[in-house]
Amino acid sequence: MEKKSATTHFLLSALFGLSVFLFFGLVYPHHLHYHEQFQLFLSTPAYFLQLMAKPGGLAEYMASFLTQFFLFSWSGAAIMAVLLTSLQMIIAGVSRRLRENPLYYPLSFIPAFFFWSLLCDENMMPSGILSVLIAMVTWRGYLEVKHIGWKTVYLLFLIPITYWFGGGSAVIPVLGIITCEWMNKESRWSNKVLITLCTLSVTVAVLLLIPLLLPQFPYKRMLFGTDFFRFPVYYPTGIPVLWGLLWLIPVINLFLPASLKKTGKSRLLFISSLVLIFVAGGLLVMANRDAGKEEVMAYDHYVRMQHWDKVIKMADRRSPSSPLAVACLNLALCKSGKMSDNMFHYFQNGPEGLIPTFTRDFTIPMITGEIYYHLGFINTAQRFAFEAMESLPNYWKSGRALKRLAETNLINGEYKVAAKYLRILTHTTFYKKWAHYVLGLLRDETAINTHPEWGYLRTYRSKTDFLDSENEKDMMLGILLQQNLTHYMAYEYLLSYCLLAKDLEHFMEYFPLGMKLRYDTLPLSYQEALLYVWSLSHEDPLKTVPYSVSDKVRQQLAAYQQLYLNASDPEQALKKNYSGTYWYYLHFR
Amino acid sequence: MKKIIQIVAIGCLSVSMACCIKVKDPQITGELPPVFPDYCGVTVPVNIAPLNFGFADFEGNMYVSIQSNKGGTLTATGRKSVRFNPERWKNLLKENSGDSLLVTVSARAKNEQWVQYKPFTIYVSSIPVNEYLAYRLIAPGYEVYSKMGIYQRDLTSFREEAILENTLIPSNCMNCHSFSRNDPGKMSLHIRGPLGGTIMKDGDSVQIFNTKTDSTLGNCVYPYWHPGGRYITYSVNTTLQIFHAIQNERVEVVDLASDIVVLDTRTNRLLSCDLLKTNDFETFPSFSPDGKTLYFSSSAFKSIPQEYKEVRYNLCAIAFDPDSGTFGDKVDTLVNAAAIGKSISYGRPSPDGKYIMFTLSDYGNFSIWHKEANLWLLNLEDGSLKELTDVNSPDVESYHSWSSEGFWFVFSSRRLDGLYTRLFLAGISRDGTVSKPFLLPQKDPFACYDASFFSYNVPEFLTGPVKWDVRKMYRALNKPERKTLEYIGDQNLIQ
Repeated sequence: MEKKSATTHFLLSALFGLSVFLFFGLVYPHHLHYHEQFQLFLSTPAYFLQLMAKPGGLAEYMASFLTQFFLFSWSGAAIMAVLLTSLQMIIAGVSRRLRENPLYYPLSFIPAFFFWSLLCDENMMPSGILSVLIAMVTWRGYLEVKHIGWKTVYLLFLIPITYWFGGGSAVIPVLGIITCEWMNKESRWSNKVLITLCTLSVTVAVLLLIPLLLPQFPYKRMLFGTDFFRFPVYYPTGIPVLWGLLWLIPVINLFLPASLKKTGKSRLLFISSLVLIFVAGGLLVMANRDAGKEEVMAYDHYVRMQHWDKVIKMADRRSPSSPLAVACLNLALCKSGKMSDNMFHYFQNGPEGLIPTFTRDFTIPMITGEIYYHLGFINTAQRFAFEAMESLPNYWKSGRALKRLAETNLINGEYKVAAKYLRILTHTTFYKKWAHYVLGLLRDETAINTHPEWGYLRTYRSKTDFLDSENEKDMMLGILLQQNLTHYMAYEYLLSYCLLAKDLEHFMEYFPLGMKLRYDTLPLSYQEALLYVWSLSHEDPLKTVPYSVSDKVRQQLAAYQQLYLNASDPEQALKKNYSGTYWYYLHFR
Repeated sequence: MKKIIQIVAIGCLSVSMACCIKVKDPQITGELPPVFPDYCGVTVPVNIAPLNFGFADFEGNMYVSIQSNKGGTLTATGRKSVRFNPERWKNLLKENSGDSLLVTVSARAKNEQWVQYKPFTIYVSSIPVNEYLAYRLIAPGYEVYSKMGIYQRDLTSFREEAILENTLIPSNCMNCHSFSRNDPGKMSLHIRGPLGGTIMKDGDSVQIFNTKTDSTLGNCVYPYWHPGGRYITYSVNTTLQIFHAIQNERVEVVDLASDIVVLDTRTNRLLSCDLLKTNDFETFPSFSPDGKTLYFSSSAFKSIPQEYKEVRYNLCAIAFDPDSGTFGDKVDTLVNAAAIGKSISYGRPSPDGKYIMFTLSDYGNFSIWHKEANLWLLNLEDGSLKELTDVNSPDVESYHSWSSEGFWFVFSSRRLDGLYTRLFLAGISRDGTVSKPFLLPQKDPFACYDASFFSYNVPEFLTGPVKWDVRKMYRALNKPERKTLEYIGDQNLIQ
């Protein structure tokens, strides 16, 4: 019977783990990539000591180590599954040790589901799982100690250690141990008092020592220890609730009957509670899921990996609407040579969807920096990578940003500082190989100049000085293009910028600059814009337009004009057949 | 905790390595060892911490022997770098004060023969440097800042301690730490951000001011204490950051407007006069050691950002009467840098008043982003100018300050990698002769410099450590109260 029960429990945990695995692997993979890009785990003693110098350091160190593997979403999903399942199993272990009953195993899933739902927030850090795991292991370990003397010793050492390794989650074993001791009918009064006094005095001593040991941290932050949230100044209410659940769920078993008289009833209770918890837990996770952010993260990840076709395929399935996602799509279209033909087939939200404006955070500059990098604004890309990394609120560093900084310095010929970044990257797991490869190329001008990416960017990067101007991106693009009129991306972005800004005057001014690019056929959006501008000042424009505009576009404009002038609701009337044209964008976006 | 783990680990490593490394049949080479940091031929103060060094990109064993003319020997071994025993180092320097040490480095790369390099000399000056150095650690970024702090380093050891870190006050920036004549008891420190204010520490008394008044351009920055300790001179600036598009250039920090003020800490009044709040740009003030002259940089007004490359600052001076808090009726131009197409920032008089050390760049005042920026010396006795070629490099040399005895000075330089600012110390004799500078020693120079994301900036010597209750300061910063200042912009001119 017991063996059967153990198998059932194992299968339930496996089912839970599989659910977590599939969720992060299929539904939320880019949240894992998001975490990975904002950490820089270094296999150096200095990095270990840096994290271990504050409470919760071991949890952060281990989480940082594991987060490296989030670069590959399935390995990240597996790690999340193992961590959350371990949490559930250790809760079950503590619960069972306190009092075995039909409900203890189903109940152990509640905190695990709750934490899973918290982790749907992209700023909830994996270090939190390690923190509560360390705390639960301490509690579990205590339950194995029998002798009152050893219990006292255990508390004296393990509570401070748990706090230093796992942070404020140490409150779970503190409360748990006291509660269990008082609920234990076999424990003598003197032992209850001794354990309580011992636990409380160690806790108070730790609380008093914190400001003396760590004067340069706010007290509240040190109470949490481990940074559960990426913004250490915010303390989500979910964390104390989680701690409460992790204490309450095992303790609640003390109040439940050890067994029900009828086995059938017991089984029914087990199954019904299990179904209820899994359904409620699942709903909670799905309710906290943010599909919009996952989509933007997906676009960003594919841009980072230069999987341009995946970006376009994704947009073909569902046209993106946020400026960041649209900016990623436009970059992918341009890199694939499809921007000026296809960009208006997708939703466009103005120049912000081409090159988003700089903001002082760690997400937008990272994405916008990709656009500047591929355009050849190497200094701007460098600045955005640096700013993104420096904006990380937990003061961590970013592997992705550091890699980009190494590249921009390499392209700019700043080899000493590039080498510095590369040497740091050699202490990582997944950037190490790349860093060694690039270190070997440093100062080899021929190798760099013939490199397909860096050589290209060296050719087209800005060579005359001007000042960055967020409000004059078209001016920056114009200067870049003037330096080299064969710079395809600069030309496409400049003209797209004018089209998106509905600045047709400058579009007409810049259009002739593309003569050296020798398009086989004039891009569709250019044809549409040129024909439209011509039509504003010429009679019978379809016949007199001097540009190479296809018959199809001419016929479309004629039909478009008919509907535009005659339909009672032209926006709706034109939407079906003309929403992919520049004219529709011009008039209705 | 971090220190304890480090000490145990290093102790075990050192003992294990010292036991097993022996130099056998070395190949003698006539070349100096390529040590990092470059300590070959440097002059160091008698109380400086051990000059630990190593080889970059090296895997193997090192053996270093330091011999003195008085017979003492100090050895150290290591794999990539060597660390000298601090106590034995201290004794060696004391015994050889005013003399020199001969350093012999032997190294053996993996599976290769030992190589013994040409010995180099370290000169030990009998003049001790101030025991502490305060500086800010911050990433050399643009507009956004991550972790940063003001730290104090014990120069006789490797102990570094935070005076204030923005882990305590997240989202706040801190800068402009300044001390009265290297006195740790008198400190001014500016906080920028949600908890903004200027902290004024005088002994145990700590006050927080809002230094912006309705009549001034902004908060008081770039402080310099009057030698009497009563006044602090600041500039008030409206600044703008602009970014270059071309390689080798990154950032410009330019003033749209700037004036100079003097804070009277007794009356909480900001003093200025017409000559210090003109339409031109005035910035980087400092007082002469006798307290009777105020030096500053001044440039003709230019339209920003259009003419940012035309902004060139001269080194100027105006009389100051500490008794009445009044200014002279004329401004003297000590160095007309604009006339030769150059610009001066950070004029800092030597404690004996004989020299002013300053940074010379092609234009502007924020020289840390100017690769051409170098240190120069103005001899106030004969008016002669001298470029400090012995300390300058092809990369940036910028902020500098004097040790209280007037022999040692510290300056920031980006010579190591072109971006991350590092601190170098050098000695300067009364006749202006400068010794070869040495990089601020670290226990592990590779970890502290090559693997660090921080720049060191605004180094200031201290005669002792800053002592304050940082938690008390934290509570004070979190209260909204800030002392205000009264602006007196028309201080009577000295007749």
